[in-house]
Amino acid sequence: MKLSALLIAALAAGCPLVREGALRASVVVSDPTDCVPLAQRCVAGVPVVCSPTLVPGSTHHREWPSLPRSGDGSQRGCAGGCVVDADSGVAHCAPATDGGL
Amino acid sequence: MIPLDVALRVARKRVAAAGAELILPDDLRRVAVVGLVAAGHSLQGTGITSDHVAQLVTITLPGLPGVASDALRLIPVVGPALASLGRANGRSAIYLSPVALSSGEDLLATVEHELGHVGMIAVGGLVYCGVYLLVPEARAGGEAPCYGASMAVDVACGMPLAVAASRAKRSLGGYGLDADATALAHAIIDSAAASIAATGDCGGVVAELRADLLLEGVAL
Repeated sequence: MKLSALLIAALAAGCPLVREGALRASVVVSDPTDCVPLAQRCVAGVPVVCSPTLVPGSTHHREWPSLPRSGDGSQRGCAGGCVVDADSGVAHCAPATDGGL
Repeated sequence: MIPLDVALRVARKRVAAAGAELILPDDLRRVAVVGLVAAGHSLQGTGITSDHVAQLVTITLPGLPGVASDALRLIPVVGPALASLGRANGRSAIYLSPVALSSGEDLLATVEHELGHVGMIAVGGLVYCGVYLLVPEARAGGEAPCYGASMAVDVACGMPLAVAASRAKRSLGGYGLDADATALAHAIIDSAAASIAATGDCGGVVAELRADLLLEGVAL
């Protein structure tokens, strides 16, 4: 009980290492990666954005998807694939192609 | 135009399919939630009033397992109320604001936003909820994609994309984000907007809604 109280107090006080520990304990938060702040790319068909927030004690950041999860918890993806715009650097879903007739 | 009664049926169906519960504004449970959220804002000195929360804020809360609910009960003053709310059948619940029921379109955009949170809670559980509350980066990464969902519905219902994106960025100002988290949230909104511009959708939100509305005889 005392340990829980200390943990909550440290989080509330903004201790970066404790915040990082909480982020790592959450399964919906990605692992830190070597990305450039605000750079965008496609990961497994999902557009993601690199956070400017530095992971404490490292040179890494986290990437966050720009698509929401479904109500059942599954990560939504791009039906027609994901692309990165060469000019703006923005990652986004591409229109689905039907193969044509 | 989507009739409100049709939108409410579709919303209830989609929320139930996600294993969650839709709570209407006049439900006593929402009155209790408004009191708790307003008290939180008052303690933090955000300047957000009880009336603002009552009229405008839709909230998704997790259901709690018995042990967590019992632990909440130990918190002085608000604990018993929190515990009884969280125990609502152990399911997450979406507490709708009155403004969410302004029109069928508003209701569906709001519910699709909240279903994103229901999904995050379904996977991340109470640990995620704690991280969301305490880490601005997590709030940015959790909220912005959900705004993408509501933007996609707004655009499908006729709102210009630029207006929807601008509104979303303005709304993100109310989440206590620091400069880095705000930049992250805005970049996510830009990415979601580009997806909507290219596909008319945000990962299938509109396609699913369109299919459910068609079953009710309404074309989106």
